[in-house]
Order: sequence, then C-alpha cells, then structure tokens
Amino acid sequence: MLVIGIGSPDGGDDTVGWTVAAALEGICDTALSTGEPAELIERWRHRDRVVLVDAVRGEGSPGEITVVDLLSARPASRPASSSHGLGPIEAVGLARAIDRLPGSLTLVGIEARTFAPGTGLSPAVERGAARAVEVISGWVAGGDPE
Amino acid sequence: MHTGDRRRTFHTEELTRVEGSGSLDVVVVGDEIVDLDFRMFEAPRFYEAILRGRSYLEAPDITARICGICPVAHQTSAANAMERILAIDPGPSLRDLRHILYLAEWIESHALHVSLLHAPDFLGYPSAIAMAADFGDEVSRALRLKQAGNSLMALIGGREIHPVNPRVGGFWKAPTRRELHRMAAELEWALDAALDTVRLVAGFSFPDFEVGHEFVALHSPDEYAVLDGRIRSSAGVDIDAREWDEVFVEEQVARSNALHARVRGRGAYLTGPLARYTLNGEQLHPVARSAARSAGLDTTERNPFKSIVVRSVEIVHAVATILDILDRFVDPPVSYLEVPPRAGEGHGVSEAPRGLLYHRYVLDDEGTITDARIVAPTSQNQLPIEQDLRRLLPTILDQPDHLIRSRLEQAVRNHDPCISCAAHFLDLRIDRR
Repeated sequence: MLVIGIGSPDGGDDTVGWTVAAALEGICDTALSTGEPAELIERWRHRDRVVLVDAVRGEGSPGEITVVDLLSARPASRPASSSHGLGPIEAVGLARAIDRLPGSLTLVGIEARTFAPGTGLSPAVERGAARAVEVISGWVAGGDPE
Repeated sequence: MHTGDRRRTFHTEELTRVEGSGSLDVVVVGDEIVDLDFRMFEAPRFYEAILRGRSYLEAPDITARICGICPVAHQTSAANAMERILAIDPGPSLRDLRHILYLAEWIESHALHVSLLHAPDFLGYPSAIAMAADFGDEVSRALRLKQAGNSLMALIGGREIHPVNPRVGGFWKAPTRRELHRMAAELEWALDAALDTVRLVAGFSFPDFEVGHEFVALHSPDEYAVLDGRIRSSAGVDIDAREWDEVFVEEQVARSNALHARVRGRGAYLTGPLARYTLNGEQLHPVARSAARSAGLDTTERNPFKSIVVRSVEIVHAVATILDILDRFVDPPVSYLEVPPRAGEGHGVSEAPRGLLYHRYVLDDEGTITDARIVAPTSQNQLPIEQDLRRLLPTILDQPDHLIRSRLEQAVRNHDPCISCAAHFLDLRIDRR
C-alpha cells in the first residue's frame, strides 16, 4: 500500500496529510505531495493500492474523517479548496482519461479548521490525524478500506 | 449585434485554472464598461512578518513555503539578497546547479500551465480533464515533461516539492556530475517533447489583440536572465535591484489583498514571458530561438494570448540550456560558502516563471532579519491584467455572454497569475501629530 500525504509544509491544518504520511513511515510506503496532478499520477500509476490523505473543507466538524472510494465516487472539487489550480480530484479525472489509475484509490479526508500559515495543526485536527493513522494501519494489517 | 442599453454582468465567483483564489466582476451597460474588478482574496500571507526575527539562513526555507509552484524562485531571490549583504560569490559550479534547479522549476510550471491550464481555452474545452479525453497523448506528454522537471528538483533540491537543499551560499549537499548525467536521456526526450509542444500551440487560433504595456524583465549580458541581472524595461529603465524603490512603487487597493505595483510617474508595467522574450529574446538558446521563429513569433511579442507560445519556447530554452550545462558541469569544490553574518540591507531579484520576483532584507550584525519585503510577479501584473480586460471587452461585446465570460477568463490566464504569491498586506503606520 502507498499512502500519499497531500498538503503543504506551512498552511495550518493543510499540513495534516503530510503529518499522517510521516507517522505511517515504516508501516507502509509513504510519499508527500502538494496534490498537483502530474505529481500524483506519476506516484500512483504503477501501484495497486493507494490511499490519499488530505485536509478537506466539507460540512463536518474539525478533525472528522471521511473515507471515499475515488474510483467509484466522483466528488466535485471546489477550486478554492485546493491551493493550486488543479487538485487531487482533477488528478483522478485526468488519470482516468489517460488510463493511469491505480488498482484502488481511497481518499481519507480530514476536516480542517484553518489554512492560515504558521499556525500548526489545530488540536481537533491533530486528533483526527491520529485516528487516520489508526484506520490506515488497520488497512495495512489486512482490513479493507471499503 | 446592437447591445442597446442592456445591463450585463459577468461574475466569476472563483476563477479556475489559476494558482490561488481570485474573482472577476464586470458590469457593462450598453457598450460602456461600468465596473471591472479582478480581485484576489486568498487569505493574506504574513511571510514578511514571519521573517522578522529569524536568521538570514532561514529566509530561503521560509519563503519557499509561499508557493508550491515557484519555491525555487523565492529561495533564489532570498539567497541573492543575503549573498549581496555578505559579499558571497558561490562560483561557477554552484551557479550552474542553481541555474539547472531554477530552469527545472520553469519546466514544471510552464508545462503545467501550457498544457493543463491554458490549452483547454484554445481547444474549446472547459477543463484539462475534458481535453484529455480527446488529447490523451498531448496530456500524457505534458505530464512526463513536467515530471522531468520534478525529477531534477528532487535531485538538486532534495525533494520534488518545497526543496530543502538550497541555502545561502550554495547547497547543503551538492549532487555530483555523475548523478546529474543520469537525467540526460530523459532530458533529450524532453527537448523533443518541448519542441512538439511549441508546434502544437503555434497552431492555435489567436485573437488579433495587442497591448502597449511597459515590459520589465531582468537582463544579463551573458544569458537569457533567470538567476539574476539588472532590471530593464522597454521604456528605458536600467537599474540595479537596490534602486527598486526609486523606480517602482506599490499601492494598497481596497478591493484586493494584493498590492498594485507601478512605475513611478508612468503607471502599470508587465513582467513575465512576453517581457522576457521581447527584451531578451536574442539570448534564448539557439534551438529555442529557432522554434520561436518557426512558431511565427515576432521579435517583439505584444499579443498576450500568444504567451502560451512564448512559455512553450521557454520550456525548449530551459531543457536545451540544462543539457548544455550538463556538458560543461564540473563538481564544485565545496557545496556551499559561509562567512560570518554582518549587518546590512540586501536586494535580490530573479525571474520566476510568471515574472520578476524581488526580495529585500535588512539584517542586524548577528544576521537576524529586522525587515523583509517580497514583491511577487502577480502583484506587478495585476494592473496590466485589468487593462487587458478593459481593452479586450469592447472588441467582444457582440458575442454571447458565455463566450465573453470564457474569453475574459482566458485573458486572465494569459498571465498565469499566482495569487497565492501575490496576496499580502501593506504594513500601515499612521503618524498622528
């Protein structure tokens, strides 16, 4: 299994994807990404099971975890929810169009509270990160993401 | 089509396919533009404040975090400023490494913008995903081209994103000639891919539209300026970076989080590919110069819609120049130079993918930053972007609203704005007497 943490080094709760990926080092393959499509597709194209971990802005409370099977669901991306012009949802669409999806692709979204630079993870999101590490570790041990 | 006195509003809540968050509001009554706002509303960035009180050695690492697309540009402008204060010259081999790293960032940024952000406008698709269904080979080529830049970034920068290896005085650890040469075969492929990209975009249809902006770009006597140089303009500016405030001024505008830059006494100016190409085109790598001619570019290019061709030509320049540097590269004797810190004021400039990037720092005698200023290309380009829109709009008012809206968005994307970099607050002080 490859876990790709998506985020940035200095964007408040936007760092949570990198935090989770760092915590999973030694448990499974990990990588860091900004979520930019070319980078994501290159990382996952020859992999069987891939998990993306990213901060999300949905309707949940900070730290809440949402698990989405990206190969069957087609969530809409809001442009402003990514710090870049294209994000992971667009990467899935592009990869589908050029046949470069991995065998399975699961998003673990952690509801964020703030994206202000220099603030670090907010406490609720830090707890969410710990839960995400537990959940993904369970998948590595043989559980099924779905 | 007579538009009468009908009031038409074009509102784009969140501009897509640009870096960061911005919006565009246009109100037209009859043939008159009543209001036109290109807004940036990304959360203001407090990096200039964060830098105060930190060591001069931290500036490249901290400023790299401003942007995921152009971290090397920030690292380079920061290092240039610090090295001027400390009177460090890293020498030719370390300079070569910096040049490769910076051009790798150009490849990454330009490949993404040309093929995934801007090309859909010209080919009539709402998104890169929709375009990929019909242009799969071209999208695959762009992704691999971008990946070539990413791989160089990982090799020299320490990792593909937010590189950690560059530092004031050079690199924490310099890659060897042998390691660099492992990239040669992929770069040979990338050169062909870049030339194919120029041929593709040169075949696009461009509106007959030219702008009269003053162009501003760095100039170096020895190369197509990227890493450093004097600041020149099409209206005769020719200054060192330390003279920045004598020529340029930034003003806060109520509707935007970004500062608007102007040439004192004249007004708006444009930085970026069109300015670089027009001011320095003769210094492009010969392969890129030839590609530009074949693509039909004039020696002066004032049609912003053709910036996609210029960016593609700059990818050719970047790849061909890196291959040349690899041929001559010798391992540097040390990976970085270090001298004791000292007090002073330093100004650093470089050519980010989107244009001129200026940093200024003041250090105390222990090397602690007491003041910092960053002027990103997009805050310099915001006014000319608005001027483009004001000039373009009257020429397309007879078209249906949805075509006007998409053409206006395309005109913003002509300048590949990086709103993440541009947004910061003016430090306002009121002197009450």
